[in-house]
Amino acid sequence: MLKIKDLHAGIEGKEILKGINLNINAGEVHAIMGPNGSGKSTLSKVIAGHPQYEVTGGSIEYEVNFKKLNLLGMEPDLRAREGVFLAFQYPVEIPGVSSSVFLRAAFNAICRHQGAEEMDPIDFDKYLREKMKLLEMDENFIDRPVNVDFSGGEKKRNEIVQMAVLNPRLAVLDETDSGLDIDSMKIVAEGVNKLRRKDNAVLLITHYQRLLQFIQPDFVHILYDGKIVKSEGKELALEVESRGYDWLIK
Amino acid sequence: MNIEGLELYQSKLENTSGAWLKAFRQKSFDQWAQTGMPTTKDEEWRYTSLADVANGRFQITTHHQLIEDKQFEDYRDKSDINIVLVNGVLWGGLSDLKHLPPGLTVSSLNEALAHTPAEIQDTISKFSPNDTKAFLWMNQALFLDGVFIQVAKNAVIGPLVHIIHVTSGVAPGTIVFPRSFISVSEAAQVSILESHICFEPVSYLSNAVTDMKIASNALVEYCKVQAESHQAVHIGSTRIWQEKGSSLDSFSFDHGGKLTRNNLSVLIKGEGTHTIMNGLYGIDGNQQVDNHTLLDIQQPNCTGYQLYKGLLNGKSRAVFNGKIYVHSMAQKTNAYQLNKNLLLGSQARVDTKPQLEIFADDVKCTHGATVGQLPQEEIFYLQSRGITRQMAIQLLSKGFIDDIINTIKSGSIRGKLSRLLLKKFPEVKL
Repeated sequence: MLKIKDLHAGIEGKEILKGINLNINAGEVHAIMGPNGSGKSTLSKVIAGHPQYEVTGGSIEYEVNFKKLNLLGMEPDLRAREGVFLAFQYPVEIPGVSSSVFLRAAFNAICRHQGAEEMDPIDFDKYLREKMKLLEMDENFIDRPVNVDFSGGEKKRNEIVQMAVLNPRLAVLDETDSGLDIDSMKIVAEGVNKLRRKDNAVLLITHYQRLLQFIQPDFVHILYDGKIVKSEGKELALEVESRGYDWLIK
Repeated sequence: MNIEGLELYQSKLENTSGAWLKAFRQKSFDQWAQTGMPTTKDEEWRYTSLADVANGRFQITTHHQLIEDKQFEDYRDKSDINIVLVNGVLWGGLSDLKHLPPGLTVSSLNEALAHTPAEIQDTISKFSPNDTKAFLWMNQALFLDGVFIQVAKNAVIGPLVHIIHVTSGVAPGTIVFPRSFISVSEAAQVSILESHICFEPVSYLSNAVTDMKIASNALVEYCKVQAESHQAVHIGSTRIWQEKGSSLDSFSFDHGGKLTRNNLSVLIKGEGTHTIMNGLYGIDGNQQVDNHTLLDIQQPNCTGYQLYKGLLNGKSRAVFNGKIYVHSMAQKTNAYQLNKNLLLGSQARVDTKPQLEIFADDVKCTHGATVGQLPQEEIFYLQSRGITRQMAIQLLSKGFIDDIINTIKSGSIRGKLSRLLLKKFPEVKL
């Protein structure tokens, strides 16, 4: 589904990703771990198409519905309409725009693009409330501006609500666990697990192994200084938990 | 400035004025004559040039007829209490004066000055002039009539009271003098909208004055809409007097006019008051809007919150100068002040100056201002959900506006403001 080849990228002339290679197939969950500053968030932003990051080399091929797409050549909104989703590490507050208006605009944009029928406000309201219930979000948030005056945990849960609503093929979760207490983390993990299917894939970006107890990855990759230095099964996460990162980066 | 037929007009006014009004007009005229027009050398007028007004030739109209206009009918809501003034004169035929709810009195200002003058005279004499004093005095010397509104003690007025100052059928270069006096008695509650509106593409000068007294424990929602012709100059002076335990929730909306200057002063004369001074200007082309506000807190335990937002397209210009003055008496004041501007046009310009002057030591006051385009992070966040960049900009611009419009309690006011904005900024229509 996703083939990253020798990806080089950076910000403001500083190279952060120094040749990433990664293959993700449909149905798989991959975890990327690494110390602070290793380039984890840069990778997620580059996949989503953040305009501040500059790609200086390599390619990302994204295969969906038997189409092979050059992801790097696509606008961020087109990537999303083709099924790429990023759960932000720091979700952005959108004053004056309610969750229902925002998500219906997004949902219908994706429907239009994929040739599906758009949903009217009443049906969408019902659909959104179901997804909010799944993540145990207060239903009053539906009419409140997106993320404004939400607690840290509510913002993170709201990202997964959006993921549930938009039903992506490839979901990149950027440190969704940071700032979550254990109860919220279980709710988030359960939400993500319910969304796992044979035809979609998840890329979890995390600093700690904690989240991986609840969302079991098929592969764990260690990112260090802009490169993947080790890839193994889920047991690698436990090893990192007990030994730290130092032994991997010599 | 040169005003044609001024003496003839004045002698006509004199014949219809009682002794107090005659003296009041004469005194104001003398002050006006001595003051002269402010220039950009005055600190409070630094960013707004009145050269066109100072050098212009004007006339005064005594003609008051509404040119029928469907847009005017659309702007009036049947569920509101509509009070219509055409070129400064109360127009009974278009106003709902016959079935007023109990506790609400509406009359022409001249009539009120003839029959119940004490309160008006007393309040007006207590206000001091602000930075628009040349215009204030001109209005006081030359206003033809106006509206007087009184809400009785403990009365709760359900429907919105909508004062509509419409300029209609005037020759280019006419000056109109809209004038309102509003008195809200103890523990009364009322929502008032005051609109300055014109549906004809004509140039004129609207020199407007509104004075309001809010007695103790009264609750007032007050909104001013400036939707003048795009060739008009609007200079408005609004002075509000707040007594103990009263609450004012005010909103200033600027939409029309070539050049607008609003001076809004709220004087806090009693303890434990609550004041909101919000505003929104949505302008484009070569329009200029200058908002000067003063919240003068003279008593302890008061709150004062101010948020002004601006949406600027084309080459439009805005000035914001908000002053909160906390006297040494005014301990335990809680106040904030914020001015946020969204520049949609690359040539739009904003000069903003939020000011706190604090002479009490136990207070909590903050202020700030922003000028800029939509944050890239917000646009990217929406794009990352599949929304096109263009649509993201629409949603965010509308959100920027809705955020402030939603602070208005009256649904009738919100509806009118949204309709005016959508007409002007179709790009925020969704």
